[in-house]
Amino acid sequence: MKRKIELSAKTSPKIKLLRKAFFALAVDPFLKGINIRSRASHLRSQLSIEIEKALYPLKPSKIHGQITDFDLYGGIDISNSIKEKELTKRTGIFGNPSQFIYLSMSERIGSSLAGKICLAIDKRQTSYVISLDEGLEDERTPYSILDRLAFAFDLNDERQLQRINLSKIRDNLPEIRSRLCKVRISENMKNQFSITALSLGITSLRAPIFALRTARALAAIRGKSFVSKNDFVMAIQLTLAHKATQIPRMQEPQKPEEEQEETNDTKNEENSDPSEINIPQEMIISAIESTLPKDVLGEIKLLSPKKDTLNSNASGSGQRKLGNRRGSPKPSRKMPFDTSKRLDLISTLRSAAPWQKLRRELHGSPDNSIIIYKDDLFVRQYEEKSDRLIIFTVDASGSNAIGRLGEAKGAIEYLLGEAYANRDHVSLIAFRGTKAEVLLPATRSLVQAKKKLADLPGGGGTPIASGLEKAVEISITARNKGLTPTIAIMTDGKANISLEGQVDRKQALSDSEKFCMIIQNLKIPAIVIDTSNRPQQPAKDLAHKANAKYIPMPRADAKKLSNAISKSSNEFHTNQ
Amino acid sequence: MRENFPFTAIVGQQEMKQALILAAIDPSIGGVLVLGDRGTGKSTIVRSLASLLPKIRAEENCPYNCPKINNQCDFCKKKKEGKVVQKTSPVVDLPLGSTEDRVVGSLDIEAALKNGEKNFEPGLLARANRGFLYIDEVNLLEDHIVDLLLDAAASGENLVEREGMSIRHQSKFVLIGSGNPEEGELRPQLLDRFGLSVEVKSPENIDERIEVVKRRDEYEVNPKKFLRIWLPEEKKLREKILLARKLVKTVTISDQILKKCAKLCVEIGADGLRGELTLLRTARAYAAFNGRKEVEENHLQEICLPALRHRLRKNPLDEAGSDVRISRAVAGILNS
Repeated sequence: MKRKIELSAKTSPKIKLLRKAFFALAVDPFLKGINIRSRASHLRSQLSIEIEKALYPLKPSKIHGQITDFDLYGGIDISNSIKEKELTKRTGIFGNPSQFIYLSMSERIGSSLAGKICLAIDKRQTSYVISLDEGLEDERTPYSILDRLAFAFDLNDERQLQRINLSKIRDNLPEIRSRLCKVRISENMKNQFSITALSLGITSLRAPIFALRTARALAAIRGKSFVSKNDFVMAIQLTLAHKATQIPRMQEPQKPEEEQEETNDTKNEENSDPSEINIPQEMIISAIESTLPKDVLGEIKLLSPKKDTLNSNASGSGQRKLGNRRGSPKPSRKMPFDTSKRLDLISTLRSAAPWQKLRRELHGSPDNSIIIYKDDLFVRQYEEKSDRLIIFTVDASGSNAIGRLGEAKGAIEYLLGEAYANRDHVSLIAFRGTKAEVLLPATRSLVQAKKKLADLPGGGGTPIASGLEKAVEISITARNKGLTPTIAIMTDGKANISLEGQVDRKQALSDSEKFCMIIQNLKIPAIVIDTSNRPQQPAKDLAHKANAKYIPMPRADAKKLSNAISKSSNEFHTNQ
Repeated sequence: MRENFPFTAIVGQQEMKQALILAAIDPSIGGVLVLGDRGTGKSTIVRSLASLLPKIRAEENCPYNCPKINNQCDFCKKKKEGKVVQKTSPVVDLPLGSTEDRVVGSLDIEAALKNGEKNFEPGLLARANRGFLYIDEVNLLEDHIVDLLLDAAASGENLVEREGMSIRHQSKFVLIGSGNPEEGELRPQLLDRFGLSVEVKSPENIDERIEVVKRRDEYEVNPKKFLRIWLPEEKKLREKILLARKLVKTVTISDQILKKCAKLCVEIGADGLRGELTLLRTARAYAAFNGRKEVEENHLQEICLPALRHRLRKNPLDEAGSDVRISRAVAGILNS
């Protein structure tokens, strides 16, 4: 062990922590696993090898997004049974103690697979779960899985890996484990885990439990029978920092106005009184801060569970355009058959029929038998109509706000209600001042949309180009996920801020025209709602360039508006 | 198998625990819908039910948990002699993304391949008979599966027509669905069919949170000792439930109270008559749980939130909680 530490003098603190996490995992399997966020790179491939070595003799069993129930739960191998004329069974990944679960591309795991994995974790049908998140930007491992794993690391900025050698620990495992349940921990520390978790905005109660167990494991590894300050701090770094959704001590200004927090805050301070507790709050916070990435606030926003789950939900419901159960029927096709699919018997027979004579001779079967090969099987397919996504792009600039922002809000609210009835997804972008902001990524949660809308302030310049840019971005990602986007732009069309955020009417106009062309080229159905007092040319031009429908916002008639929007998006739907 | 965390040792979440107990006393109340954040102990509470609930007497090996050999299910039909044993009350987990096959049952492939027999292999609905069926993230479950489950829950039967089989078997269970409304809402048609609806939040009280972590830790470190400590509590509650189950059939409800139930439902504008029926049954179970022979007005008051919360005709964007509207209606009607 000593030699290793010398070697690792140059390695970054994060990699050292990663190693500790593996140590703790080896000692206490209850900690369940690690989520590692890393894009495909040399380091990642190295890491995979290291992990396999570290967890040996357990073997990795990969779970990917398209895995079947048969692979997960096992069962009777039908094709093999028929071939061997003997019942052959196969065990699934769950419930196999000699394997650990390796989730590759965990950011792509849909909600239903995530549900199965979570259930397996809860029922202790799995050993370790190592989840490799290769996501870009805001794609994340489903929150339900993250919540059930003790550790998470983002290795995108790391260059050098350190060997994770667990042999020392493995050799002494019985001894360390026997020590583990005797490790003592002070009451204050125990409480502090819960307090810290709450001050970091972690509502789930799994996190502080993981922290407590990690602290014990770390102490046991050091051969001690009590948890030291160091163990305590490291446990917090390992288990709580990555789940944080807010930064402690910065609470006051950015806290939402919820009364119950106040009581917590006061308690928090009482408890963090140094005379009462042997670990100063500063120390904990600085420990956490050191493990947080540089772009703390940005990261934290991404980490907040709400947004994350929304994403996973959206991908889950839109991705699967070709179902095999629901929707309108499509021609069936040859494909590997399993029990989750429906066999198209007629097509199967039809494809097997021409070969019957040959096959009978080949197998020496009687004339009245029908011999069907695996390749003959046709599977029924259904096409689900993909969900619609309405991207509201709202002009909240001064020119607009004074006039009719309130009315626009009312109209959107009405449209949201419609969207709810149609099970549409909605997204909300507002542009004002120098740039646009995505207030709400694609979601079905209307309560959130409503909240965001109500909080939307008005005033400032009119950066239409920036708003359109965001709308196009969302449309493209939505299409990739199988949704059908429609952009609804509510503006008076008087662009005066360029894409760069400069006050330059000319540039602003040409920038916004550029994006109109993109919208036209991508054939994204769009609609421009003129919110100026009287129908005016700029908005009309905008609509024309984007090949969008133009509607002057009717006075206090949200219903008309909604009809117009659904009509324009439906037209596109059928045209395509 | 390791024992579940004791039901009585769970800190807080009073409303959810009470709803589950009432549903256990009178399964005809219908399912329980639990809405709330993750990591608030929903799953723990549901799973701990298995050890809390009184054991059921059932035929050994019978996949349908028949109380004794009868000619009801196709397993018992084949058997001549039975052996009735004590089984823990079934609490079955239904994972998200389950296929229809796994839920309702399907052709027994093993028998088909081995002996060429066309047998039925019971699914989760059979296993849950006489117990509880738990679905985490019910709001993300495919609509046709939810529909199927609610049908079975309401009729107490599972009817399978597939792969050349036509099978009907008993499937009486209490459906428990949980979910986070922020991830997607449940259709109102489905909402209405759950008997009770409770909302859970992660405890915000720091002492409560600390207590949760401490108890969990005690349990993990030495489960046997922890269970021993909580055994008397568990036993006490179990006996209370058993007693209430006997009592509930005899609890009376006056016309006056019934009238108030109806008034309440009209006032909040609940569709259909499910609201009244649930109020009636739940109030009865609550009275029985408290050892009363007649439903009193305060019983009604106690249970009207979970029984009615999800039945309001609600503008999806209306944030003013349904709780407020119900409380207002209750205040107006019950105390008049």
